[in-house]
Amino acid sequence: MEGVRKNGIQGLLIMSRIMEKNGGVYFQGNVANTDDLRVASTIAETCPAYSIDEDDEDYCNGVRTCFNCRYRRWLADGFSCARELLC
Amino acid sequence: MEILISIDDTDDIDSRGTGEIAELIAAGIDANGWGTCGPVTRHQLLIHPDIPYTSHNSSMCFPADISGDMLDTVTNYCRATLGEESAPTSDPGLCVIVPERLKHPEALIEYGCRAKTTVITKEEAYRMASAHDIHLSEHGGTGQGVIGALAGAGLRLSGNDGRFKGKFRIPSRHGIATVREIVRFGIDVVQTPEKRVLAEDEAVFVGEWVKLVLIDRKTVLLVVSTEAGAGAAWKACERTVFKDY
Repeated sequence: MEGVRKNGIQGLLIMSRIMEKNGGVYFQGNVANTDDLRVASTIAETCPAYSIDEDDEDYCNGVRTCFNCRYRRWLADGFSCARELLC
Repeated sequence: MEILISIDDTDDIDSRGTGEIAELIAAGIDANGWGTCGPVTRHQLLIHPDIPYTSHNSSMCFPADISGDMLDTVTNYCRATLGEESAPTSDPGLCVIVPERLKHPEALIEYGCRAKTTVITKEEAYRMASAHDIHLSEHGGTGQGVIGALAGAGLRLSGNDGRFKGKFRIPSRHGIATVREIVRFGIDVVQTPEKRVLAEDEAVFVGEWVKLVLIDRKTVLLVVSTEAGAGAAWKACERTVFKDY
């Protein structure tokens, strides 16, 4: 499955949040931060695997964003993607 | 007597969540006439690279009011349901406590609080359960879920952790209700995150539904102040706030 890399400004914004750790990549950001939320929404917009999590784990009022996706795995300072689509 | 039933690590990334299984168990206890169950609370545990978890590392707990002779029946039912309903690749754990029989409840509460900040081993969880005569059992996989299940029971016992599963609809006029009306609906307290308790006649924008948290053993609606002209001086907290509960 193809990842979520984008070109231009959007691509730069996304890459500014994508970090590498222990051989994997993760999104560094906080759901309460508007900018982080916007970048994660840009990723989710075209993500082929996006699927909203159950309502109790929805922190953004149904907004399509990785923060709301059932495949995001919370980390101390962000999340990774269980479908490995952050690249 | 009241018991607390806590479960953890029952799901995988594509299966239904642990909260749903907790509600399923509670519904089964009610339906069989073994007791009356209370609402499920979700308890956030430590997010750490050394801890295996599906996506949130949270455990689920609920109280049940049962007669004393039903304890074994209910525990066995929980065990069987966990075995049947948990995802095949999960590591489910079950904890059942009888708070009135605990000689040192503070020890279990301290364990629960510690599970939010430090990595705890399965062996430590079993030692704690054994020392305090608490039912703790694993039902597949690595059985790592016993760590969180025990922590969930301790945190619920503390009365000061977690949020209630589900959304709560409060009857209102254009989304606004007074504290008096909100309390009548069954919520104990309306307060700010800084613990400023609202008076009965204060108005709150509750929208279509609200989320509730457990503070000081009470069901609490958290609110923040609104801007002037919003129709109410207060509004229910945004969802992002609940990530901390």
